[in-house]
This record gives sequence, C-alpha cells and structure tokens, in this order.
Amino acid sequence: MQFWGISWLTAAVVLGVCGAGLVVLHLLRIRSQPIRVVTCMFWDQALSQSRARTLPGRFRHPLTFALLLLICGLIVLSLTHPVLVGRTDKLSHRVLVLDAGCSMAARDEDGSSRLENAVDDISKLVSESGGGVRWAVLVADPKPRLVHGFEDSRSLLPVNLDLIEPASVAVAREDALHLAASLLNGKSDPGIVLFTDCEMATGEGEIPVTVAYVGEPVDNLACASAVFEAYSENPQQGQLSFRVGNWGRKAAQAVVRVVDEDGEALWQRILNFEPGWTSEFSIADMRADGRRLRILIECDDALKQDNELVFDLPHHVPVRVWADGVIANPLAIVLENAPSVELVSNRDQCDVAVLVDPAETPDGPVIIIHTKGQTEQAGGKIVFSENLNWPDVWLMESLVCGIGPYLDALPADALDLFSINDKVLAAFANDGGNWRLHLSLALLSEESTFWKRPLFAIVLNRAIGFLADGGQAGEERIRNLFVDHRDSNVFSTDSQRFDLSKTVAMTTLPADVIGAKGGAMLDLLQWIILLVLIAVAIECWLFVKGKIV
Amino acid sequence: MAELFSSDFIESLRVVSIKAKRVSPRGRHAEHRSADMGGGLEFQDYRSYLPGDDIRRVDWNVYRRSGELFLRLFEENEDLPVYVLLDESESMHFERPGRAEMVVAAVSLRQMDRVAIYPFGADLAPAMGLTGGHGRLSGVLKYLEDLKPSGQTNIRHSVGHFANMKLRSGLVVVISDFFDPCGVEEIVAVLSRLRHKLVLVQIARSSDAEPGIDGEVKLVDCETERAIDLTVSGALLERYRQAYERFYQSLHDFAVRGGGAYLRLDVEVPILEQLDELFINGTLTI
Repeated sequence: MQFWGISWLTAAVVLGVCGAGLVVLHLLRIRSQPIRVVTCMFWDQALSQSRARTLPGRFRHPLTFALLLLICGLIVLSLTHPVLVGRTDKLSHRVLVLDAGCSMAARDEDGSSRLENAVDDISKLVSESGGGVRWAVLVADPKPRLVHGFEDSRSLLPVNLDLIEPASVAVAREDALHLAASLLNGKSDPGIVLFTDCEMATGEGEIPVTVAYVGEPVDNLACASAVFEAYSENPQQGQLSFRVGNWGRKAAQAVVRVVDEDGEALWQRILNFEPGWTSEFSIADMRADGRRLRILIECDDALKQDNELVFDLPHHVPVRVWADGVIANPLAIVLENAPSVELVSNRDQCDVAVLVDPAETPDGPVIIIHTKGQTEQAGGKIVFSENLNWPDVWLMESLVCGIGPYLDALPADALDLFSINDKVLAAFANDGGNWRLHLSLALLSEESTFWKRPLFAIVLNRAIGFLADGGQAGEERIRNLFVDHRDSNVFSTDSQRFDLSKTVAMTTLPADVIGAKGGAMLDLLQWIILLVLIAVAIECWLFVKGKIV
Repeated sequence: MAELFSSDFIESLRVVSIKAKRVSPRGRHAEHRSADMGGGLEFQDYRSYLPGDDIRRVDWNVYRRSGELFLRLFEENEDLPVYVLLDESESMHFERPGRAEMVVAAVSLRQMDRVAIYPFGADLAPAMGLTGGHGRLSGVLKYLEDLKPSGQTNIRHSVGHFANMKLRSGLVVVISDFFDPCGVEEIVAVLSRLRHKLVLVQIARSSDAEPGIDGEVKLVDCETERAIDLTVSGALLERYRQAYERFYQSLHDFAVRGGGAYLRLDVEVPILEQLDELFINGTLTI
C-alpha cells in the first residue's frame, strides 16, 4: 500500500485528528440505561415478529457504531490516496523515459517549459494509473540514470522529478532506451514511454516503445542554457558557453548578444537559426569577476520571456601567496608569473605561505622547501606516484633532478607526488588538518630539469589552488588534480535537431501505454468512495426502517 | 417469612383447599376431600346397584321400602400425594417481595397431604421427601426458606427428569414463572408427559405484562445476563403484550385441557386476596 500525494507526517496528523474524532464519536455514541428484567424472552419474540431481529437488527447499535467507524476510516483512508500495489493477477511494468535535452527547456505559449510539461504529464499519468501498473522513471541526459525505481514509493516521485533539470548538451536517448529495456528484462507486460520533443524511431524491439511528444509547436527562439567553465590553471578566467535553439516551424534570423550589467555588448552575432536546431556558442577568456551577464535574443517570435537569459559569472580572486625571502629562484619566477597568484609582502594577509626549512610549521596552508637532509643518491629520473590519477602529466624520461635532500621525515600517511629511486621528492602531507606541500630542493636546483618545464608551473599552480581552498576533499582531490577534463562534453559545440512535426499533446497517449491491459483495476480510492456510499446507503436504509436511531 | 407465615396467616389458609376428582385407591386416609365416592364417613348420594358392587354398601332400609337395591355412596377421604415442582431459578428471586410458592405449599400441607417438594432450576435439585400434617409445616417452610437461586430456568430438562421418576399418581403443582427460553411449546410438550393431575401456578408480576419502559434501553436478562439494546416504541410494546398474553394463554389452555388448573399469582398483590378470587368457596376443584 502506498499513500500517494501525502506525506507520512501529514497522514499522521490527519489520522491523529480523525482518531480524536473517532474517540469523540465513541464517547458520544448511544448508551442505553441498563435495566434488569426477569426475562428477555418476550422482547425477543416481539422483535422477531417485527423482523427487527434480523442480522442487522441483532447488531443494531454495534452495527451503527461499526458503520460510523467504517465511514470515518474509509474517508481518512481515501485522503491518503492509497494505491494497491501488486494485487492484480497481471502486473504491468512501464519505464517512463524523460528526455532532459536542452530543447526541453524551451517554453511554450503557456509559459511552461516542455520539461515541466513532461514532468506534469508523468505525474498525472502515474497518479491516475491503477494499482496494476508499476512505474520507473529514467532521465535521458548525457548519462542516463534511474530517478525512480519500480519499488520506490510513489510519494517520492514528485520529489525525484523536481530534481531533473534540462541538460545543456546532447543527451543519450538511445542509451536511455537500452537502460529502460534492461530494467524491464523479465518483467511482466513491459512497456516504455519516451517523453521527448525530438523525433525518435521507436524501432521494433521486444519491448514496445511509445513516444509521447510534449508541447505544442510554436515559433520560438530561446536561450536554453548557459554555463561558465573556469580554466584549471587560472580560475579567474574561463569560457562562457550558451545554447540557443529554434523551436519554431520556420527558419528565423536573430541578433544574439551578450551584454554585461552596464549594457556593454561583450559578444554579438546576427545568426540564422533553422527550425528544430540548437546551437552552442562559447566566449573564451571571460573574467570570473562576478558580473551579471544577459544573453539576449532579438527576434520576432511568439514567446519573448525566454529570449533573455540572466547569468551571473562566478567571482574568483587570485590566491595571495607570501614567500620567504630566501626561496629558490625558480619558485619565485613561477609565483610571479602565475595568473591566479598574487604575491603579497605581509604574511598576515596571505592565503598560502612558502617557507624554507621552518623550525616550526605554522597553521594554515604552507609550501615547505626542504634544503637539508640526506642527499647521497640525489640525481636521476623522476617518476610520479602510481597512486595519482594524473593522465595528462607526462614525465619525459630525461626529466631528472639535481642534488638535494630526500623527504624521509614525512608522516606515514603523506601522499607522494614525485620520487626518484623510491625516494620522495614532493608530497602532500596532512598535519593536523592542515595540508602542506613539501618540495625537495633537488627539484629546484640548477641541475634539475623539472622546474624548467611548464609542468612545474601547472603542478605548483594547482597545488596552490588546492591549499588555498583549505585542502577540501583532501586525498581524493589530490589524486584527481590533473584529470583531463577536455574529454568531457561540457564544451561541446555541436548542434542538434529535434522534431517539430510530431509534437502532439500528451492526451493522445494510447490507453495501453498506461497499463490498461496490464491488470488495470479500479483505483482503491474509487473503491473506497463506493464502499462509503454503500455504507451510507445502508445506514440511511436502517434509519428509515427505524432499526437505528 | 415469619410475618408471611404467621399463625393468623396460616389460619386464614384453612378455608382454602384443593379438591381432586380422582385419586389413587392405594392412598392412605387424609383430609384431602376427594370428589370420588368411596368408603369415607360423610354420606354423599345413592345410586342403583350394579353387578359387582360391594354388597356391604347396599342400603337395606331403602330396599325394604322400595324393593330395589341402592348403594349408599360416601365421600372418600383419600391421601393425595402432592408433588410441588418449585422453580428456584434466578428469575424467581428477582425483586420478589414475597414467596407465593410457599403459600401453595402451605395449602397442601394444611390438607395433611403428603407433599414432596422438588426444587428445580437448570435441573432438579435434591427434593424434600413426602411429608404431611400440620406439624411439619414449619419444617417445610424452613426448607423453602433455605433454598437458594439455582441458575437459569430449564423446565424442559427439569420436568422431563421428574417425569421419568416412577412416582405414585398424584397432584403435581408446578410453581414457576415458566420463563424458559425454550418457549411455551416446549414447556407444554414436557408437561404433557406427566401422568398426574396438574396445577400450574404461575408467579408473575403486573409490571411484566405492562413494562413501563420507553425509548432507548438496554435490557439485561437477570438469569443469562444477556443484554439487548432496544428502542421501545408503542408498536413494539404492543407486540410484547401480544407475545406475553399468547404465552399465558397457551399455558392456561394446556392446563385446562388436561383437566388441571392454572393459577396466576401476582407477587405484587397480597396473596390472600388472590386466593379468594381463585379458590371458589375456598376450594379449587380439579
């Protein structure tokens, strides 16, 4: 039994109130004064003659009270919108695949987006379905995922659906359909319903796929999404990407502009948009200074409210670094030229401190240069730790270090970065909650080829960013500090086409899609209403017949 | 009890008697005035001689004057065994101001009959054996006084048990309210098995015939503790009265039809007043 559309807390409150009501009714029920008599024999005969000692009459007052309890209980139960699950001989299983592509963000004439319409349609479909249907909901975004399983409570469905947002990139609908098919493997009366606005060939697989096209066609250009991706080496800059689509039936020309809060146009194009296509545009080297940008589409379309997208750039500030005056020259050069680093002279104002052989390590993020220690085996090929997931860090075999100490006094749980002959040259160590970057002078000496590579600046910049953030995510972040993000499709500039000719209203969804053939039954709510009516009718009949008062 | 069975009260019962029309020829002499002609001392009538009659009863003086044989008939004072089946169920003790059944027992004892009292409730209880004579009245009354309520009325079982006992024919006085849930038909059926003269003494109350209740009530049976909820209306009261009268009419018809008697004693009315009405000239002839 599931209670649809009502939380347990609400249900408990309703039950509590109704329970109190029942107690009051119980206290107010008819209580006859007991009278002891010699015999009830003649009363029995008198009642039997009047047929009042029939079964209802035999339980006259108990029946009245029982009917009252039944009616109250059924009313309370009906408020919870109960749904019987798994009580039918033949269960239907339906997987609802929700297309979360960027085109689903388009708003139609009523002002609601197609994704919102699809979510409403799914909610309506599930709520109006009988107990003979089990539902699962998949989201088709770049990585299709299950948001609501067959066994999940229906009460959680609205919550799960609210978490779905349209993607800014191409979605994997086919993968979603495959995943849906795998979920239905072995299930009785399976079926897939795809909610989308794109043309889809359903094919003739084992599991029937029904495409429910959402939204009504309207001439509309819209900015579907916008995203800012900061550069890893310089988070103060990044790339702004936004996607514009034409959800109309005809090609449209539009002026697309990106303006800042002063109205100054940062980017402007006059573009032709074919119907049923979205295109993504990118603006590189945007400063992450917290400005509010507006992406404007100037065109003659039916809907104006989605022709403007307001986007707030993040505000990234440089990391303030204070360095000891005697630090090695290569390190000083990198710090001076790092775009995300600002060297400060006041140690109290720094975010990260660079110290050389400190007697005592202060609190806070610190880079420590080690110049003293065992150096006998210095020199040789540098390798990086196998524990690191640094696929874009490539150390040439000729990369060698100079004379300098090994870092042999680090804590046991230190996370090694670079080493030579199993001797650590650079490592992160957590000292009482403060992460420190330990560097051997061997990496910075004249003989070292390490610091002469751009890799050194990249490693140092990202390490400073990590330390400035307070070492959030710790080892996990260190291990993935150099994961190549360029394989991600975040910056994909592809265009995609979606079908407009088949866009129909949801009301045309055939009955068998919602499980009408799959042991569909009267909703329990309808049964309860029917039972309440029958109970009230019995009560009225007994009252009219004078068998109850 | 002492007040009810005071000497004045017992004296007032002397004028009350029960006369049986036929008794056992093996009975002993008693004060019970039988309606049959026999060898008593009190002349009753003449009749023509028939072959086989006791020639000692021929009135020779009449023969001398008329030349025909006539027999002198005398009232036969015969011992009449009286079996009192006394209902001692809970209902008989329910709000009962007096014990009318004791009066009936006293009437029998006054006749110097041999009286055996069989209390019953759900079944026959140990009986008080046959006794007789005025001197035993106090003992019988003490016995009656000590009787305790014994559960539910089960006339069918109790009388059936009594009917199976091989007792000399006599007078059976059933004193009960006859409120047996089995119904009047069953009661009549089991009483029909008794090979005795039968007097049904029904202990009743006028309030039973006209219950002064109305509206919502919960009636609790004093014997079974069974409760029924009722909405008492005029129509229901009328049906109750009809059921009540039908019950009593059935008992009365049965008793009269079998040559017995039916007495209804209202416990809420003085017992002697009722006896005056029920016993014509102090005699109840059965």
